[in-house]
Amino acid sequence: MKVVVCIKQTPSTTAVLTVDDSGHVSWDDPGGKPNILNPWDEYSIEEGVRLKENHGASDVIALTVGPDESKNALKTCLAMGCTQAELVTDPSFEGSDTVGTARILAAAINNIGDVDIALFGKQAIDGDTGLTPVQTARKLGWTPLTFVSAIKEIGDGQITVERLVDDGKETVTASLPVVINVVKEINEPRYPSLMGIRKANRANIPELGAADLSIDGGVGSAASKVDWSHIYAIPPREGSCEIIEADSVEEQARLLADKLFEEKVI
Amino acid sequence: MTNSLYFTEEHEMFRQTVRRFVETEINPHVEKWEENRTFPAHDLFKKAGDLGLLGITYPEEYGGMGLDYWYQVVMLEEVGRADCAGVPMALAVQTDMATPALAEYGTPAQKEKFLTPAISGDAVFAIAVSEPDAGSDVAAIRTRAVADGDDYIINGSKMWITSGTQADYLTLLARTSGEYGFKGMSLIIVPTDTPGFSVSRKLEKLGNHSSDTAILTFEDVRVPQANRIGAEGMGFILQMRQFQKERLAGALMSVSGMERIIRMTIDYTRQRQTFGKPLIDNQWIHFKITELLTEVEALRQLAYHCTRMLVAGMDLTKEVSMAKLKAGRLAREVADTCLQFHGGMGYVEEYPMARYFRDARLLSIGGGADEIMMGIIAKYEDILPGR
Repeated sequence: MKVVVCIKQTPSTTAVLTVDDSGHVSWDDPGGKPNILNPWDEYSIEEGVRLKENHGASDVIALTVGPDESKNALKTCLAMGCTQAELVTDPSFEGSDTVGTARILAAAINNIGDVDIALFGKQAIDGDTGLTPVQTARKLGWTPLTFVSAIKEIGDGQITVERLVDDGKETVTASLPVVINVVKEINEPRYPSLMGIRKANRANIPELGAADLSIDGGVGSAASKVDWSHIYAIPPREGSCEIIEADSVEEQARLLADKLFEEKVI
Repeated sequence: MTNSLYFTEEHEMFRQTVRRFVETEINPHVEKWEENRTFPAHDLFKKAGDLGLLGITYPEEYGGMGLDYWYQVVMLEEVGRADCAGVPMALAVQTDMATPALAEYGTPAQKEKFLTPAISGDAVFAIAVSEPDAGSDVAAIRTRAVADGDDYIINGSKMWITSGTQADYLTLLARTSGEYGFKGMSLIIVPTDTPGFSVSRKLEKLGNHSSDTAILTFEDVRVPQANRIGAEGMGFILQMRQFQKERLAGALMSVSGMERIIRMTIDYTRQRQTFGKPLIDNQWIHFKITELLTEVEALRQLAYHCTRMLVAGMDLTKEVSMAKLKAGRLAREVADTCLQFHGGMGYVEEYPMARYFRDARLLSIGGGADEIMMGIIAKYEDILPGR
């Protein structure tokens, strides 16, 4: 069984984001690393490694589309236990929307060949769209299994999973290959051991470009259907404090209740 | 990419792992462990061992990573950032205080038997040197190990022993001959399930509450002479060498601990409004904080210098004694100043400041008091009386 885990390098959760007047976003994290493996992807990596440990997956390949620096996120995947990693990078990919990214990922997954399961995290913490997994499934023509909270059984070309839905959980079975996006309830991700980190840093991470893949459809900013017309920082929330003075607690409570009605809070 | 002169991308990846270990396996439990006056060392050390944190510099054949001390620096810096000093201290006892002599001078059989479980986290180690009448004055210890056939029979008492109530093994310094002073001592590994060993009392301390500290008693404790590290009579020398790592570990952990508390104070004084403006806008506050940060940075660089000396195989006794002395003094100043800037919030248990104030005080006492460090420095500078 061959598993691909599609991951993304994102700004750190503790990074300080700055948006300038032209809408350019930059970030830094003086106390740590400015970029990290998307935290949601840690769950899909962990599940991929568990497929190797518990279901005999022979290959667990971490795959990402991004600049050269994304190799650092791939190293984290290797340190957690992925068997291989692959970076797909090309200047023509810059500005791709989720459909463009899905086209690139689908082509890279087809290029790897004989993949049974493509795992994704629920969403990426930068764009927060959560669209790429299903769009990749569509491009591949595979069944998308979304919001998966447990992989129950794999055998005879089928997979049974538990999905987290609005009113509870549901168990579904699909034929392989499938695209799965996982929720955080699925596992507790391990953190990279020192041994894993050492191995990851010695690993060779191959790079593929547009010329190496048969991408079906347009990619990059020119093909993007999503237009980021304006990006701005959220204005700081303004708060004020008013202390209600009264001769007694009862009077204070009455004034407070009046105020809350007046402000339509209650 | 990293801008550091000392740390590579690999070091920084490792730093993230240790930081996360502290944030998920230590910090959420600190309140409870402080209240309990102990922490589950076997459980935590096993998790640390699984991540490779306990044998970073030790040989790979015993489960270690065989890496240079800069990886250990990363580990110590990150555990030093924990929300308490007790648990980091116990971890450092395992890696930098109780096992360096075993790793460096132990026989292959000793390392297989004792170092392997110390690295994997299956065994908890304590260092048993101090006694009720001999703390920093190591040459005054009285615990005796008398040869009897192939064994030693140990009698005596040890005090201030970190992880003393939980340890599986002690690295014990005892007298193995009648010679006076520093001569005639040996380092011996003592399994704590040996008959005659007992924990007399768990000590109630000013700080480091999450770490158990005990008085240990030895009554006719019989251990094989094969458990002795190095040649008989070499114990004091081996322990003095072992102390250099203990002191370096103390200095390194203190830097990140001080940094944590200064950053916390910056955040607090930014939020705290007095007389219509943030507290930090007072020049006295922000100037004083810059002074502290400057001192901490200077200590960090001294500790890094000591690390470079250690890695180069040089004698760092004088420099590491200076680092330990400075760390103890500076931690007291940081604790006092930052508590003052917290005002009443620094004096209540609801806020981490009070704990740091208590915990920081140990640094000038444990691992050789400030006055011992000054004695060592004076000796190396040849300015002791009568010279």
